[in-house]
Amino acid sequence: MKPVSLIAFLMLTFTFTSNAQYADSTRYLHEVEVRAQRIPERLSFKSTQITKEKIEQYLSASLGELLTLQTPIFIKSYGAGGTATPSFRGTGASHTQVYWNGINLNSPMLGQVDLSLFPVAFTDEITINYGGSSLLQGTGGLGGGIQMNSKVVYEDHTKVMASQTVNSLNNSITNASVTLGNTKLQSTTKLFYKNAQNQFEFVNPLQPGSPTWVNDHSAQIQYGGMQELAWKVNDQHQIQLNAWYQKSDRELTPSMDNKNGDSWQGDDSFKLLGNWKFNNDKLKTEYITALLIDDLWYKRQLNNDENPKYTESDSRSTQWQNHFRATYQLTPQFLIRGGIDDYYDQIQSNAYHSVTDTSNQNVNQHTLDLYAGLDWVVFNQTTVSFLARQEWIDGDIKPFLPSLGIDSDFTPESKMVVGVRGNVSKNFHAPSLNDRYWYPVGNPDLLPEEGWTYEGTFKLRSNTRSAWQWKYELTAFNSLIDNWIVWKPAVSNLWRPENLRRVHSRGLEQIAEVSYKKNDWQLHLYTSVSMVKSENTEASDELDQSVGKQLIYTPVGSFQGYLQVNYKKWYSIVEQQVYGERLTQTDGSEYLPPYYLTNFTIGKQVKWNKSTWDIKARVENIFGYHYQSIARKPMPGRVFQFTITYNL
Amino acid sequence: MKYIIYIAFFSLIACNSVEDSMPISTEKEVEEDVTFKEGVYVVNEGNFDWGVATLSHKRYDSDTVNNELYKSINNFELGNVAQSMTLIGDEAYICVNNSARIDIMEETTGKWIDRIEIPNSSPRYLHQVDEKKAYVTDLYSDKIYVVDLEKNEVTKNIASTGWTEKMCQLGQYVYVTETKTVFDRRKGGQLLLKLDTNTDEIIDSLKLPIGPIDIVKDKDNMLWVLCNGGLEELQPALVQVDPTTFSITKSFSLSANDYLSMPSRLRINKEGDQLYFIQRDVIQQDIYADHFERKVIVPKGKRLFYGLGVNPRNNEIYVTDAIDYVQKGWVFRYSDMGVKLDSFQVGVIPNEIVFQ
Repeated sequence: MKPVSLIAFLMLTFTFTSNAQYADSTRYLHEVEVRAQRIPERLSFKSTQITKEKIEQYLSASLGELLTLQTPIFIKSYGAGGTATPSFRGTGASHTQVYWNGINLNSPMLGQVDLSLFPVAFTDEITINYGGSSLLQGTGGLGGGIQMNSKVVYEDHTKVMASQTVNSLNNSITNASVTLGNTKLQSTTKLFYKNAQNQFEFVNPLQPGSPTWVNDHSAQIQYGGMQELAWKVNDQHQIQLNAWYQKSDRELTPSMDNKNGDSWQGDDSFKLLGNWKFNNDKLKTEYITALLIDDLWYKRQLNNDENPKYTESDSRSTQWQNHFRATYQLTPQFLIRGGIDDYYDQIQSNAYHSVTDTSNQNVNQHTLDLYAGLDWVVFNQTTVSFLARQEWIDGDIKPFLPSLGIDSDFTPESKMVVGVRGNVSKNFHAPSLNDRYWYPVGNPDLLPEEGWTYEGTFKLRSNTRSAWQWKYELTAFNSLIDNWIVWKPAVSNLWRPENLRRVHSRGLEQIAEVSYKKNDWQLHLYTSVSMVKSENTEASDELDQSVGKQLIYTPVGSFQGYLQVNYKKWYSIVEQQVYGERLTQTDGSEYLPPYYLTNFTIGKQVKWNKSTWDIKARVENIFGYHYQSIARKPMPGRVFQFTITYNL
Repeated sequence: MKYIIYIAFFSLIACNSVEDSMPISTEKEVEEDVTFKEGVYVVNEGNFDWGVATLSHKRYDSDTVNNELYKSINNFELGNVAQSMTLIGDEAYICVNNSARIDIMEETTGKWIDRIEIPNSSPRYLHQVDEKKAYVTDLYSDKIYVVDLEKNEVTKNIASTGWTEKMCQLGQYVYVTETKTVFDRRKGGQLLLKLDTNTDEIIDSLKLPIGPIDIVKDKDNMLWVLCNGGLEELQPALVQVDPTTFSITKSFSLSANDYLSMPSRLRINKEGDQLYFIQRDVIQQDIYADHFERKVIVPKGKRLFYGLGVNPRNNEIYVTDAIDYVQKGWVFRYSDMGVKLDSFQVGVIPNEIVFQ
């Protein structure tokens, strides 16, 4: 099998036409012609994609909001406009790694990302890598990884997009982008501005007489710009430059115990990324270098004195990342891959040393990571993938991380393709710099969290030319993670990280999709059901009743789904999310009840000369369901939203 | 079919009230007509910013523990970080530190009476001066609030220079510990303030070792102040102050290797001659001893001792275990000789023991 035919085979193997791109039917037809999704980078491991077309439907959303609707990842939201952190397969926020064009965005200080800070409009495609699948990008994704990528199409065509969204929370979100260039050079400029008051009324049963309060301490101003430049030097060489600046200032939502907001947070970030690709028939190489500067400040008013005092923490993290990745097609059946990931982190923070110490101390960390692997097409319907990683942090050798996966379709030619996939991987997550150095509680002796994950998938999909297409996947996974890091109070209201627990996480994920397309009608139904049991298995002493209990803020059961129906230029979408009970105390003595959210969108596209106008009305939480994501943090009821998008 | 759709639609709208969105506790409701007397209140502070402060009560002569009684009786919650409870007459004043208020309830029924709201405050402890007046200390404001106990409102502020914490009264003077943490950039702190209750003015202050956090008076009307040593210096000390000369008469150094062994919770027995505090273990110290021996009366073992109380009726020692701070804690009861008598489960982060 020649490389070309191997690629064709892989495309067939992983073909399932995502018929979700109804918002712009012109693009939809174009995709149908290709009739293939992007080839997964990691064979034999589970990943799913959110396409550019789907992203365009949610231009005004944050990454956290989009993932809530489109993936089984549970997003823990601290109220409207508040921090949103992911819980993937029952793991914690720091166990989901987020990548942008190949570089890691998890803060070296916090070890996690705030998904509310990433505007969806700044990415062209999103890939969700489940569990061990994320090991190709880097370590630490015990739950999985999220990749946000820019997609460059070299065409001689100028595109302009402008979008304005307003909603009944008194929020306004503006997006604009311009893409221009030719078959050699491409430039895309994206701008984003969000002025969110996040204002709504809520009844407060925590207070005597259940008064109605106004949530008016959750305002946020967020804006940013991104410039992408791509140069196709020749058929083999391609150079890309990306610059991304973003600023966010927000009030932090107080809990329902207190009427007055007293905390603010600011996040400024600048990312500069250079990418050089060299591809020929057999060898594909990529070198990425990136500078990331993140400023984070937090401020809290402490008292009611005439000149109030504030507690402030100010931190700057500067990262320089270098990644070299290569694949070589050894024979038509064998592809070998290898790479180097190198991170240099520097933190300047007033939280890393005492206030009486006026010297300017920096904390540095150097991480070197090597990987090598092999993809083997055993025969037409079966692939085997092996990858191993070895990481060093400041010269200290970390656990060796092997992973192996097998994927096979039993009946590739029949109308119903039946297949299985299985993999095993080891992963680890190093303590963040806050875990190690936060003054005075940082614990430099913390061990990395590490564990094995086993995963098996049963797959079914239709393989006909019928108007109806469908796909079904059932995945079971099991992982045991040692040295789980927990921040717990020590003395004087100080919290301190410790390697406390052994966490066993296992579950089932089921994804079912059905699509229909005939004449003027298009329909797409997506459903995802997850059942995850993630529990602590080790007690600190005999009184500790957390053993065998689900980890806090991790639902056992969750459901996400949507039904999209298009008729000519009209479209409507119904989205449904259901989350089961979530414990708020480790012994299960308190929990949040299940909640059901239903959103409804109706829109129409109008062609006018060469431009397209997309007018959309959306109601979130249409039944006004009362719910809380974090205990005692108010959440809005029914929200009305209106969006108008111009495309040229 | 049509009806099923209608029922499904309206059940989604109608069956979910705002109360249904609130966190649900697995604790059983307290029985009606129960009275809380002849026993011990446990103030469970709850996690910072999570608002899970609760009240527990156990009668001395019963094994029954009434947990989450405040919520059960009043249908609303105590708030975010309950720091202390002071019994005045038939009423209990509860300082809810992070909710910027003092809630007042009837001592024996648990019924809410009133609330003193002090915006952007962090009330710590309330001390009754006389029938009409109380003082309230504050974590972050440089002031002590004067509360009118008849109107239940703040009438004036007394300026201080730092975090004011515990109070102790001798005659017309109230002595207040004033400290500051390592994160505190204020100029004051590390003082014992002398407050004249007639004029509501600070008339004197005494410099103390770092971190004066707790205060008691002994049988001879001498003051004992526990200083936790601060996080950086880690030089905790137990000092005796003679209020008549307003000077330090004894000072014992309590060595600490790390901040986890900072001492806390100074208590005294009913005779007023034995001091107790937590420094990992529960330590006992005789007021007449001329040096500090670190006499462990209750060894820590696997426990994580957090709160401490000595019953003024019989000198029994109550000590709380917060486990991992994210689940219900326990209270252990020991005899004055340190013999374990019993234990009972309470709420999240049991902080203060209040004896009736």
